[in-house]
Amino acid sequence: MSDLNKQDWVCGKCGTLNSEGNFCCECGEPKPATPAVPVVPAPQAAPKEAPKESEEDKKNANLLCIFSLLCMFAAPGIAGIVMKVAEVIFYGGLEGIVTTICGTFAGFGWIAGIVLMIMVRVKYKDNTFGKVLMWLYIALAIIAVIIGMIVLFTVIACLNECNRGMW
Amino acid sequence: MHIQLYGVIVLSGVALGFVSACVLSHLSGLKKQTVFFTAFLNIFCTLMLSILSVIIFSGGREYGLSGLGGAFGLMLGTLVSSYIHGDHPRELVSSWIVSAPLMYGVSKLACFHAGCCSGEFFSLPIQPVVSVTFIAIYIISVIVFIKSKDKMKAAYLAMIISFIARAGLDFFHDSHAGKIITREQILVIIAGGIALGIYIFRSKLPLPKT
Repeated sequence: MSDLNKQDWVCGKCGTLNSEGNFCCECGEPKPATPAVPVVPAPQAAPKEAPKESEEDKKNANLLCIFSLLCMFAAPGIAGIVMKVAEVIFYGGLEGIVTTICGTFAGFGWIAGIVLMIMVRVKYKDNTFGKVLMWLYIALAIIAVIIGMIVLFTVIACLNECNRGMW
Repeated sequence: MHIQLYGVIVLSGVALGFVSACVLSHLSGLKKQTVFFTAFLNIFCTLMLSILSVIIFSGGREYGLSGLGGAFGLMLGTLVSSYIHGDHPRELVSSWIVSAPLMYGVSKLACFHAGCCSGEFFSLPIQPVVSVTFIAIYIISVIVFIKSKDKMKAAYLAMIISFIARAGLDFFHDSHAGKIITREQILVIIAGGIALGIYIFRSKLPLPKT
């Protein structure tokens, strides 16, 4: 047997890859004089991974996270300071109005902080600051719930508020 | 440590409502992330506005929890969440609206235990009557939610019947004695009017796209 017969060749009629012989093992077509060499596809380069987070996205996400922290911690702090200052200046005369305004500011500050964190987690999923902030807020929420449950279960003041027809 | 059953029942009612809303959201095809973050936001919004409404209406002189304030907080959190996520917003909003009567109905059992919000409904104590009424509203709404393709139908049904029941049953409370209309009824009528307005003009509102 000649060396040429040992080479792989592709049948021109049915496309079967033959490894030996002068006739196609599938359809019997005789091997052509210049057999078509099976084309080995060039190895594909590994696809480049798209960058997970662009610099601009990172910057925007970090900015939102900072705003979230400010709303969550700075807003109640500012409200507390204003209440103390008002107490000193007005000798407690405008306590009701000041408490209402400061309480509303602090409460909506907390809500805004949570909303901003959720926006970061939804829009910029891969942002590390956002992930850390989420876990921080979850931990704070768990602590707050535990403290709230202890207070609610044991303090009679809540029962007194209900007796005044708040529900 | 003496445990107040009142607090246990109230928290259980809220927890049951949250679980119900999460289950209905999940069954409607919402992503787990959407369900989790909506529940997380709603915990804060419900609690904050429940406390803030008492502070605001009392002019900063009293502290406590308000059911109507909590309901408003729940709706605010749900609407904000629907805009943030844009994930099946109609199903998201509807699942929370449908679950709200369950929270209120179970919480009323706490009032029955504590003896507050008292009154008589044809010689029956008013608190269990309110409780049964709102739990029935919840069951009917869930059935409509599951069977209907347009989940918002269940939400509108829950809202309309809840507002009518809340305003109507208030007449049988002791706190209504000697009054033509109470502050709670006014707030319920305002909230019902807002809900009706949203329903009538829903096609013109900038609601999040599905």
